[in-house]
Amino acid sequence: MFIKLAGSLLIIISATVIGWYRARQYLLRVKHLKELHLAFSIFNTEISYRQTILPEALSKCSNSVEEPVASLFKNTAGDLNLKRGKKFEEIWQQYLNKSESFSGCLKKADIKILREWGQQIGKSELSEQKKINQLTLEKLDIARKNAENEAEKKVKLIRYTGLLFGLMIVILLY
Amino acid sequence: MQHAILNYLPVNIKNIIKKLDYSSDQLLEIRLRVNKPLEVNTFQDSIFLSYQVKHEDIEEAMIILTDNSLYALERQLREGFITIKGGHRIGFSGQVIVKDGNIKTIKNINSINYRLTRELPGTADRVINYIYNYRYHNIYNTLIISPPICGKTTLLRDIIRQISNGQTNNGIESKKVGVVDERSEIAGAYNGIAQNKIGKRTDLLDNCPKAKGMLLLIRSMSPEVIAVDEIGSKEDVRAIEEAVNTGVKLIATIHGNDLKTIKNRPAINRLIDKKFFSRFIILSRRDGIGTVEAILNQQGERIN
Repeated sequence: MFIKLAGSLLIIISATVIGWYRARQYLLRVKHLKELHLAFSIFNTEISYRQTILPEALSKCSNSVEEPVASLFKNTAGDLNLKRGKKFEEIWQQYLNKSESFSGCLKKADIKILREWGQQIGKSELSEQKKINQLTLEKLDIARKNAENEAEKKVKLIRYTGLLFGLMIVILLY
Repeated sequence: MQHAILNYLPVNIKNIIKKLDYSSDQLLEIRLRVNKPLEVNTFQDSIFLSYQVKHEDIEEAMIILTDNSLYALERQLREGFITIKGGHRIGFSGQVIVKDGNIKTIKNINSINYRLTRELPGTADRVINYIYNYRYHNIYNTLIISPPICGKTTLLRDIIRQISNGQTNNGIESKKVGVVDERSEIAGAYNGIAQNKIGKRTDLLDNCPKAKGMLLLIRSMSPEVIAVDEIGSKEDVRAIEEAVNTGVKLIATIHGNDLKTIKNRPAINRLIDKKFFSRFIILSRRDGIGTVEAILNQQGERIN
């Protein structure tokens, strides 16, 4: 009897945890998109007013944002300094692919925004670069709003679903 | 061979140059041209290496030189060269984009020229006595006339250094010198800080158009001597005329073979006619780079 009770409790707890975890992905997406927006607006200011070179601008951004966005910027900057002569685009893509903490929460469309930014940055005159940054910021803003809407709708639902799913299994087992 | 410039070369070419048996102060230029053999110029001769420069090498070199940040180097790309740490200059040519008659940028780079600067302290020893007015303890307005690669910037730099530091045993007083370095050639500034020795009392205005810079320096830094490189345009001359009326002395350089060729340029000729310059130093390559052909006085008579 006791074992049965403990087992049921375990099922309910783990189902709830899974639910919370799944819901957290939605919240993290919002958070990451916010951080990215912040990072890119710092970047834009850096290159617009101070014409800072790419490695420096990126590491400055990394100091002002939270993980995992900070790592993405910091690693890219580090590699740019280390492997001189390598294209920024390649290094950026490489770290985008690597950072799994992103790919888990961010959607493909979000990653695409970052990818497209990386393809264009550093390759043209300042006025063009500013436009690219502005566009990226707008895109990130829209993505964040979508993410917030989605989170609002789904977070509670998924959390309860986890709990209810656990309960259901337990009831079925009895 | 060991040299700071190696870090700015694409990796294939870096490995070749590294193996060369030159001391770094012999080297003058390293030239990369797409699909042409790699060229190295030294003081003695120019040699072609068996390595064929590839398009990828040039591309890689440009990424290294611009740090992946074309936007930060718009001005340099327009002017066709970049100054790197150590004051070395890297020139390039390619396809020019023109807008409203002005060069907007250069793209599809096809040639890169790594020009190594040499700081030769002591170059000005031969001329400093002629351009210093021992009676009034100031500098004569001096124009250095020289064809390209005859060491005019090197000479100007050393004059600046000597005037700025002064020479107590020689009776030369230290002066406040303002340098307008339009193309980062004199001071070889990297991130705005002079890489070359330009003296302890020298204030540097890096990357600034000469005409605007001269007047700015007079207002802001109260120099006693102003030094500029490669004057010639109408705006330069107008700024010089204005500057000299404030009592500041000027040392400048200009491209040319001798006084006569310079006089063909109307703007400069006006200054010469007005007896603005009291000394002319004429350089050539007759006995190697930096040969002082003649030093002339205000009337154009030889005094050395």
